Amino acid sequence: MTKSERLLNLLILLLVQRRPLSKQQVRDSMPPYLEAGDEAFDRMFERDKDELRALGVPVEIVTLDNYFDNEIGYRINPDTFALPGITLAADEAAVIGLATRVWQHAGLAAATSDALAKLSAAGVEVDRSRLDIAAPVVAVSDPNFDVLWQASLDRTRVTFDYQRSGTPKPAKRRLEPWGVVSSSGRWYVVGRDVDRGEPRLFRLSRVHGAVKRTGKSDAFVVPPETNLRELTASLSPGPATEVGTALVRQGSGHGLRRTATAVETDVPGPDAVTAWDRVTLTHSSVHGFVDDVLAFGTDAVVESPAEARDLAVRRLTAAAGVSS
Amino acid sequence: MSAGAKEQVGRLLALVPLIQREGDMRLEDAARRLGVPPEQLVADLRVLIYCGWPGWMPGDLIEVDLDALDGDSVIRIHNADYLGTPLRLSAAEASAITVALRTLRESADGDTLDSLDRALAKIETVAEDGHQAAHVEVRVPPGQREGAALRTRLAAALSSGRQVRLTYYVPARDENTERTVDPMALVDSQGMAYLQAWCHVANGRRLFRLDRIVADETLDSAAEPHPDVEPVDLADGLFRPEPDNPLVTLRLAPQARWVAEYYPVEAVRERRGGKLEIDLRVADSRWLMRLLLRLSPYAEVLRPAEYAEAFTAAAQETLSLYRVPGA
Repeated sequence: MTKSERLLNLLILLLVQRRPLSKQQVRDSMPPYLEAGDEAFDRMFERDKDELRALGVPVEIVTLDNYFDNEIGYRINPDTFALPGITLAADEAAVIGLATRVWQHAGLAAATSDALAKLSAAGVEVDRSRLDIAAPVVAVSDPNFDVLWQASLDRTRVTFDYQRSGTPKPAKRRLEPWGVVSSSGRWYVVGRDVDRGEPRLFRLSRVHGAVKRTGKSDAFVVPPETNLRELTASLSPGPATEVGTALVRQGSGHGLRRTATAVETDVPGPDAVTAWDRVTLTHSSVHGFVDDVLAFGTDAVVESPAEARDLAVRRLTAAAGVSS
Repeated sequence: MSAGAKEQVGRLLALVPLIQREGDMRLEDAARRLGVPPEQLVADLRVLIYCGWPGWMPGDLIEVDLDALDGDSVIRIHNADYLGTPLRLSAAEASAITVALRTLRESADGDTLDSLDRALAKIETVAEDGHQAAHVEVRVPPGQREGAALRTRLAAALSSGRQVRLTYYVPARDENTERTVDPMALVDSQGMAYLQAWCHVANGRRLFRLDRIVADETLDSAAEPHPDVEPVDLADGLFRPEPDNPLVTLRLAPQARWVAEYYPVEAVRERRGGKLEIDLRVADSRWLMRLLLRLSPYAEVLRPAEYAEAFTAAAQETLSLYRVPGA
């Protein structure tokens, strides 16, 4: 019996029996387990169960009712084994084939492809050939991504050396990884910092060397209220809702004009070297707004709000003095 | 031969239900539906004939009609009723497909967006079955949807081999430039999308950030081939400082420490009070002045002296514009 045959036969054995089977019953039913020595069987059976679980097969462990002791039994419940029914309209099925083109990472691309194969088997007609939409590509180049993603899937603790921004030396961290998230092209791992006892985010590019798995799988439980989407959203700056205006020299400040919501031409300016325009800009913080205008030097001046203009004057005054 | 056993079982758990659902199926059709090469499916089916109901007596095994498979390339399976529905999605598959669809959603519009939304809602329902949470998540930079139409136009020009006229914003010079390019590839790096193209003005290969393309027009003229041009390797980031560019040393206050991570620097030294001293190669002094003005007063030029003086003068001159009454 090849390993593929052994795995599939074990799956069918646990799926078609009406009652859970003890480990000994499993062994008695499977020639490769019977032929193996006790230790080899233990190892083989543990690995086989883990591989089936990694495929998504829900191998359940239940306590067997018998008169002698509380023996452990194994089974696969047909209801939790099966993909719930799904019906997609033609246009819905047509777009999901694009999902395979998003990932520039072997593991994620393969997982997406496997998911589409299962949906296909459930009757969804997936179209993998649509080319009329240029799908955005999510690239994963960090060498530690795979081990962190895997550890979050099988809930294994990890350790790594991490250099926080603003500290001279990396420090060892122990983490229960909940998931890996990307915000604006940067990857982070989210989880519970074991030493601090709190949820933390770590940027993958600041991890020194390789991430190591420690201990067994299923070592922790992700808090049920954890929402990776919200955690990821909190990494990005807030929405641009504040409004400010700047005076921009005609023929310059293209960078400001491109993002402006309004431009008023030929307004009174601070000098007569050129004519000036007024641009209206939305922003999420006064500091960011002032940063953007100051970058244009003598081609742009913060006009309003007064708070932003005062800040610009204070910052320029400090800069003009600092280096002189 | 145990390599790939898990994957092989995974494929069979989709193939068997597909055939049971659709009835006998041509090998090619099944391969296309599942996104698997036909020869792989044939190898998988040869495993299946040794599997079945415990006991594995002749009547217990799953039956694969090998004559039909070898003779007519038709897949016919019997005696596998208990594998009638595909296996539910694994945690890895569930997070990979839902996050891919959400990412697509961020750059889709119109009818596609509508279709994606409905498909995603249904797939999330079956994907979240039995799983606590996604294990991977992607947040797309803002502005991606606005750039989607441009991306689609450039992809079309690329696949039809046409030249494109670009109006491109160059921030270091604060200029809008006009150029004709031969598109070579669309690439993504660090959350930014770029067009890699041969620029006929610069007479060389250039990368154009999509969010800096002010206007684009696909021309009737065919793009010239550039077989000798090596594609840009994005593994080390996009900025390649030249060794003969002048070396500038800056002292950064804590508010400006991000510069050390954002730009390629030659050296970083920790200083008291959370300050950093960095050395970086500067190709364009106008770029450095803009950066320093943006950071005022959190960055200071330690050397060379002429840059320090130029920056002080620029800050003083800009400040004088705020001292004009009525401005």
